[in-house]
Amino acid sequence: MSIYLDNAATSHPKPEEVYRAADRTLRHLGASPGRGSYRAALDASRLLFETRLAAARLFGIADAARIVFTASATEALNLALFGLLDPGDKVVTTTMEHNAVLRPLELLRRQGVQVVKVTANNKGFVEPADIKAACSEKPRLLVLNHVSNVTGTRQAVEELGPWCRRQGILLLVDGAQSAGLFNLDVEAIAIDLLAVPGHKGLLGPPGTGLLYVRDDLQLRPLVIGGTGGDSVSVLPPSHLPERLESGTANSPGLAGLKAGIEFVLATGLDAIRRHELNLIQILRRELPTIPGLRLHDAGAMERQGSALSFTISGQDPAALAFLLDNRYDICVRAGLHCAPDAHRSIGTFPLGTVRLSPGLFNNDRDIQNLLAALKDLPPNLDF
Amino acid sequence: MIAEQDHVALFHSIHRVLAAEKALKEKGADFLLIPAPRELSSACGLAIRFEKTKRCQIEAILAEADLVPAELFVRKGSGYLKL
Repeated sequence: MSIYLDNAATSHPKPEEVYRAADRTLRHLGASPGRGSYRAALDASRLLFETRLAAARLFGIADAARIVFTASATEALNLALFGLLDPGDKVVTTTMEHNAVLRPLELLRRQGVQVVKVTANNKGFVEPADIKAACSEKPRLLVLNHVSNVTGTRQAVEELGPWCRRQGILLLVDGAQSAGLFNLDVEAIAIDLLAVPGHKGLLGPPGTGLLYVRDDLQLRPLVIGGTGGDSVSVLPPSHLPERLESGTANSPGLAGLKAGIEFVLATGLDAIRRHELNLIQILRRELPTIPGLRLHDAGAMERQGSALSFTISGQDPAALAFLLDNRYDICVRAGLHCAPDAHRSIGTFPLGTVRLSPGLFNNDRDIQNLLAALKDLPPNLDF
Repeated sequence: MIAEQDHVALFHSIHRVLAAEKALKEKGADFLLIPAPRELSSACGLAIRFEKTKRCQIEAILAEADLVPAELFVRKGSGYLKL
């Protein structure tokens, strides 16, 4: 059986409850949420409502109506950026961002939004002081990756959130690698917009994600169409979540997401973190014993998430990942991981790295098998 | 479906009407989730119906849950009176 170590891309496998919830919904709850007032349609609406409540519990959100479901964190980030920013606005961001932030920002820059990127150190950490200095002209928005998908480095959002709130700067957090692993209480951290995938740390199916929008923020919709009610209105409604959720909802996916979030809540973030970071700790300790291997991690466990990267001197990361799959049935990702600026910061551009991202269902044996495979690789990767 | 003196609460959002339903169910209130009457414009197409005698109890539960209806009507003859 394959050893799957690419949970930073999407988590696999899922809890049994997630499969069952998605299957049950697709089979037995076929009606469209918010469309119709017959009992089946109401049950589908209640499913979305309960999924929102579960997400609100996890992220400390007082009003679950401020949670908008999307198809991914990428869509949530696009919705936040395009829905909020106007030409003339200034945005501060970092070099650790994913293309889900970098590319929308580049498009917005061409439309007249001013974008300032703060450079991370070679461990992927962006000094809060550098961010504060870049915010001296009071941008409208700071957009920040909470945990890097390349090095696993966790940024200091707990410090930056309250600071931004005091300064009157909006904070958009990309929680792609941290939701379901670290605390992301939107009130405690003072997050205005939070983009989260449903299919990574929340253990839901692909095709799910969400955006939290703080109470008094009004975003332009990215997608406009039917919302199930208020049909005579020529424009989308002003209230959330309907304003930002046009079109038929992915109810089987969201049923799975609800089950995933409930699994995370029942297991507890502490237990999940302990398990995943224990595997990461073994990797951090053992990987450097492999000749020529260089670790690209957060540098310290206090800042480490559950992904890290490595390179081996003289070896192409893509060839390494190919051989791990081809000879040892181990799934890892190689390359730039959609975060080119991050590799410029940590010195691994343009070849990139091999990334390892254990999940909740990996164990010590998976890690030992990976380490044995890496030690077994021929010095010259000839395939 | 809606008798004389029955009350109809509108919320204008499916999320809010379902939140109201949940709060009322948890407190064991006597009500029914119904399609909003055609004469009353409701953005979400749903409404909460209850008897006049339940008004105090239901309004208290909704107020406590921060779910005050957007509009409240009472059935009068062939029409509705806004409260």
